Amino acid sequence: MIGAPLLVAMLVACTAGEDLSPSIRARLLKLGPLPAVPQDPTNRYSDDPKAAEFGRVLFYDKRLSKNNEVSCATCHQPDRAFSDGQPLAKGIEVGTRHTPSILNAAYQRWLTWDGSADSLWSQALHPFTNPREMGLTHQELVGRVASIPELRINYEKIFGPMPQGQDDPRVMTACANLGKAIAAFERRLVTGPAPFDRWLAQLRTGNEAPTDFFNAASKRGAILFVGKADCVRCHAGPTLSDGEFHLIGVPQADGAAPTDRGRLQGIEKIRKDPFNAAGSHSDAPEGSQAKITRSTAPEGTTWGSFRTPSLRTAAASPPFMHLGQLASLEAVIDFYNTLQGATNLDHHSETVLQPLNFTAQEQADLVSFLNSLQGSLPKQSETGDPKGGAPQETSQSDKK
Amino acid sequence: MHGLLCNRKNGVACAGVGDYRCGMRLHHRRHLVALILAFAAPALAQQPYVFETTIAGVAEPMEVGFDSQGRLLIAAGREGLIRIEPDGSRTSLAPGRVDRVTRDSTVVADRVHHHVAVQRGATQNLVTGAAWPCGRLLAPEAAAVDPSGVLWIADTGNARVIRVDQDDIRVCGERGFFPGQFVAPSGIAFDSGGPLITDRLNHRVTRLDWQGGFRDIFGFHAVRPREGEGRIHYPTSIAMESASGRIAIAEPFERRVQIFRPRGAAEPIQPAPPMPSKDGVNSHFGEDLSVGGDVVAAWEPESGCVVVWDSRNNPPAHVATFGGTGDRPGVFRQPVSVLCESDGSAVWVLDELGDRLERWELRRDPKAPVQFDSFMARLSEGIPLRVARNEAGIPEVAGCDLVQDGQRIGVAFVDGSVAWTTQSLGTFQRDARAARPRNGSDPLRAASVDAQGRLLLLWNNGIERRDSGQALFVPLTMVAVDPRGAVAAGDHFIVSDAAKDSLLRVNAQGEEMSAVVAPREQSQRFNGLEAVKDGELWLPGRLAGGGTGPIWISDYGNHRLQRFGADGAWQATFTLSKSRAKDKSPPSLAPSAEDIAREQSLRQRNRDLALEGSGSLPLLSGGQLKWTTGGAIPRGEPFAMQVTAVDAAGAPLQNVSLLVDCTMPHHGHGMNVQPVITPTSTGCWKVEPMLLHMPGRWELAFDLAWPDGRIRRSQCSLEIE
Repeated sequence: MIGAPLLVAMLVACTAGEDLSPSIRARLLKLGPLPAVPQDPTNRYSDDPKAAEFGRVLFYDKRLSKNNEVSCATCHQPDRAFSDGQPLAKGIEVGTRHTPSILNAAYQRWLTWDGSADSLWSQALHPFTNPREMGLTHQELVGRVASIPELRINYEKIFGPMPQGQDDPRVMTACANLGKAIAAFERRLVTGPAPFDRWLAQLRTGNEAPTDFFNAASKRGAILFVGKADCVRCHAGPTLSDGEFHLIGVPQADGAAPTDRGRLQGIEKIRKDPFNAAGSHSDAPEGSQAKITRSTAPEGTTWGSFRTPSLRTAAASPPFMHLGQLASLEAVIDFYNTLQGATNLDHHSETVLQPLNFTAQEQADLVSFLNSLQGSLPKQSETGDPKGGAPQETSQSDKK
Repeated sequence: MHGLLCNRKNGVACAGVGDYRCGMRLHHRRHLVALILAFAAPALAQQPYVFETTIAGVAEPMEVGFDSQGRLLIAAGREGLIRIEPDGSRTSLAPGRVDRVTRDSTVVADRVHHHVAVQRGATQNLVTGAAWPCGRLLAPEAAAVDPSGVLWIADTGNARVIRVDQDDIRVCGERGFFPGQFVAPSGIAFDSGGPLITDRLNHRVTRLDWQGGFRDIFGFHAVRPREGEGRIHYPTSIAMESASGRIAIAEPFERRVQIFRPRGAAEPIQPAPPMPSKDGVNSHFGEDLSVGGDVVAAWEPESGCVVVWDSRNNPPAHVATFGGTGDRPGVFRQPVSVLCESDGSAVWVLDELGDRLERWELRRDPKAPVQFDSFMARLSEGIPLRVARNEAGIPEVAGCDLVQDGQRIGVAFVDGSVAWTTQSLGTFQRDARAARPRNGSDPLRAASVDAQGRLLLLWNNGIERRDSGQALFVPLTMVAVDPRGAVAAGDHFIVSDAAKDSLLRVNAQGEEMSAVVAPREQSQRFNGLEAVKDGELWLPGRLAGGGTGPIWISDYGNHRLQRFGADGAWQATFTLSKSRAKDKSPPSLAPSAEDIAREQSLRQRNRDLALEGSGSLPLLSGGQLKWTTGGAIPRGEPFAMQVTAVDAAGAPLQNVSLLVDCTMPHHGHGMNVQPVITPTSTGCWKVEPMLLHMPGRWELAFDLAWPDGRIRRSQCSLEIE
């Protein structure tokens, strides 16, 4: 029986006063710390150190692209929180969406903005065959790995013999193995405790006072986040994402009508993806994720919806939104504050998303809180380019 | 290009009768080149056409076309066939009612019979789609053959376009508001790149390529009535003039035809009109409304939602929205009528295209402030309309309107037959009162019941009043041209007229007694700005109330409802957000501490239920439904559910099937998964996977379907942390 005025009244009651109310405290404590990286039953190599190290090599190898100039790390750059700082990704060509950070991606059920992948390993294969990214076919990818001795040797140590030629039916299995190796590496891309996590640890002891690493502004922002702003409605749990898809109407930079079908396209793609969790290359085709993938269905709100991003790396990976159209956290908060330009082609004037109408101080507090979510980056020695980032030589066969 | 003729001269589609031509003629090579140049804009450019002019003040532009000299032809309904001369003057080509520019089309869409008739020589084929994997046609409004012989169908009721060639049946688009999606495709023409599809309820033109792929959308949705200059409002027919590439779009809702010309290659793109923003467009309402107790209900054609107001506030306050578009219980394809029970405790919805009649309970807390409540409406039960017809022995005709007489609820069909049921959806009985013999086949327009329980049926030419004896007929031809709504008020009637935008009191002889809203002067006849003033009307629809109380009217063409006092004085204009009243009531009180405590208590109960992961719900049919998840319901993690249903004696329910859904009504969405429901034994099912991805209040609904087609819902709320 709740209506908007009643909800606001309840939340205002929660945020009044200096001490945290029990409900605010309970909501905050659900936001951290990050638990251990969840198991991935669809990938039997997910925790294999050799596979992870091989995946790391693959991740940085530009020879696995059509023009020998693009690797996974071209867009997922370690010094940019494994994003690229650009509005739109650029591989062989400029892409159609922003590069999301893949830090903490191992916690996500759905990968990519539209959830067109349901595991780390199946996602890892998408860029290889995207003409705008790396531009190969599955056969070409396996062929290139087979033609590079160091890669071939490493592959066969882990997965057994490589397919013999592009017509070998094991090519797709080899492809899946390459994805699984990269996924094993990407499971290392996890952030360490953030200032907010440290403050939560303190809060669990009963001390809710701000600290030098989590100041009063951050605390006020945190209270707004789970209270009046109700950001936690979608940015829930330790990843600060519900992992699902929402249509928030953020306008395109050019103000034109949106054309990206988002999750609707993602569902179509994942149903056809031979590497999905329910497919023959999955190591758990009857597992939990497989059931979800099979049952995923579009509904009226699916068009143009995109996956809720985790906020744990937001401070280090601007710009924001699926087109990178908002340059800063301030711009993001400003959008939610006014919903200026938000596109609504529907015929309902009521919506969950209402302008926050916050003061400048409140907006600054929210930004301060978001900055406090940035945890330490993974060790360069375990996640950086194994060749030290030096330009990679192109094989003669590739030059041809 | 609704109903346009398309023959196959020179291997291309063209259209015409006698000297008339409509649609495209591409058999002159220079025309083809000109068109290709005209449409060489980037694929996603949103201004392939530029507004040129408006032909305003056409009361009923049913269909448009061009003759061989490029002159616009308008089948203008009551005004006959009109030709627009180069100087803008109008020539009447045919008097009397004309709904089509052409008369001998080779391809004709028939929305009433759900097929497309294709004439090939002396042979006529009916395309129904009955054998198609994508399902059969539903109320198609347009069909046309392209230059290569491919048949395109605006499958309006299914919110899609079908491309039919010799080898393939292809579905283009799906229901929705976004580019590439359709709500009500309604007209077809062709340019050099593919079909142009008017979408009546998305208020725009969608351009597809020859394979059915999406090119772009054209024409911005009108945010308010009477907008022009490229805004489009309820477009129906579309036609292209081959020599110039101009297109004509009929907008009966605006009583106009707009002409657009191709944007020149060097012509700069003008700044786009603003998109409908966070406030959305003005909500539209259908032609029907209902009043019961202090509840008012109407429906939105575009979203398929039913909207509820509380008239304890003045102007009435928008307090609930429910439904939406779809094919399962609880959502609609296209409602045609709503009915509030007389005490305001429930709303009935008649969904003709969805073949469904549903009853929704309104759970209102009389102590709570009058405010919007997403959870107020709950589906209680429903039945396929065909079952209602069968039970009442009524032939297969479309439903039209809902009426109430005491404890009985009636469905009025377009042939004037009425089937009565109880508030608990008991067996339907046909109304046995004597009907007046009918002349012609014009469908019923509206129905109501007067204070004496007499049935009032509104036809195009009068009101039929059925009593225990012989039916009375009140002719309306002296006072109304296009009557859309009628209610009784004492010994006379109130009648709305969509042709004159008037609301009149009419006596039993069919004579005007007085005007509640008089027809505008001829000089102001089509002045849309005059028409939006409070107390004025534009395309008025059905009525509610009457008797000795106020008169409520669907002011269809102005996107609003209005209330007039029994004395005829304007009292209120209301929509979802921009409402006004003559005597405003004070705003609702802020929630009290008691309200907040009550809300928190409810949330705690819902929270406990989610933590327990099991519950028991009473069945409307008697008996119980039990569900369990074997533990606390997690947020964001899949889980399975066991469901059992027993009758009043505790025996497992036999011969019933189960549907389960879980939604967040205040978010307007449900789960992102569609669980598989597997019977495990009689009256027992396993439901998996369920996944509640967001914290907040979810509504868990169990629909049990009986062999007779009746569906009864049991529902509970879960608060997910």
